[in-house]
Amino acid sequence: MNDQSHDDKLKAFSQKLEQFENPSTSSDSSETIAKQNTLGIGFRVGVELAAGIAIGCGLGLLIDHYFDTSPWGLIVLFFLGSAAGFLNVYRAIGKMGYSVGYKEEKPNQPSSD
Amino acid sequence: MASPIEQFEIKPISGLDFTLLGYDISFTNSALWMALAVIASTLLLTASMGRGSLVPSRWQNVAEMLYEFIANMVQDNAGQAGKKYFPFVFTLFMFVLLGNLLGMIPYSFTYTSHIIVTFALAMMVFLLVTLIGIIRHGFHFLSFFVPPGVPFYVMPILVPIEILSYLSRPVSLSVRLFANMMAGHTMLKVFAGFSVSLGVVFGLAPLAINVALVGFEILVAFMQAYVFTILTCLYIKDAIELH
Repeated sequence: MNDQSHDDKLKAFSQKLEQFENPSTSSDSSETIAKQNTLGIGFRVGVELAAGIAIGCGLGLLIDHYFDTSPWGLIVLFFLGSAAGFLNVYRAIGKMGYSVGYKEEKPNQPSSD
Repeated sequence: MASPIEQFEIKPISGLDFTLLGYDISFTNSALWMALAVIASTLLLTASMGRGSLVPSRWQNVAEMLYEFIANMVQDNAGQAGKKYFPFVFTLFMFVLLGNLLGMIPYSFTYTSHIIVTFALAMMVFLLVTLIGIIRHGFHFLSFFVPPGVPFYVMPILVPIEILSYLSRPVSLSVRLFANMMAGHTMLKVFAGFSVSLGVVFGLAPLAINVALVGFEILVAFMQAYVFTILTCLYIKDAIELH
């Protein structure tokens, strides 16, 4: 092993070490989700949509039951729940990382690697 | 022929069926496999790390890989402030992963294929995330449901939608895990049933499919544990940062 390659190895190692000590925080979490297979995405979209509608209907029925407003609670909350379901799907697909609430546009952080 | 969903039946283990104040608190097959998962993960993470040698043995390597995998996931997805919650996230990951993987052993029971188990886990995440948000931000947490830069006359519609979207998190989190596990195990059983009823010669084709499905199911077991954990990290990040 000559000196040159030894130096290179050392340099690569110190780079690795530095990366390990100061892990970059800029890695985008939503990318890992977008990278999954299509079947997974399809399944996820279905679940997200159904979950929104189910929660809306459930809450609507509860409100109707306790406040005696049948059927208006169910009707209103069904539509709101559907909208929430669509919003969930939009967030899951639109690389927004599933978060509730709007994200303000962040300027791209310069990544260190 | 056994029904494909017979495997999900919860039975008390004979001799361990108790009642307390009118409630059935039997030690069931589900509870048994949960206990086994806890024991197995504790053993895996303590016994294999016992010597903590610099050159890791195989088991130590497994334990270190799992630990680092989740540590990096928390670091990348929940940020520096989220590191506090690493023990919770790691425990959750190990419990789900071992539930999924132990379920692959023939004659075992997959507790993650029951919606009540996954819903309890998801509810735990949901309550924790909400608590983190309220403790860290107090009343300001409610701004979570008010998108910035929206005209006030849209608020009456948008805020309920945001709240419903937030409430649907535990549902989608739990249904995803439960449906994947249940569908996979039912499929395995259906194809196994084909093998039995078609006899030795023609039964080989469903058997071959089943071999592939077992591999696929192990992939799904990892994937779903991963997805469950990464979403927990993202939710924790949301609660910490409040965008």
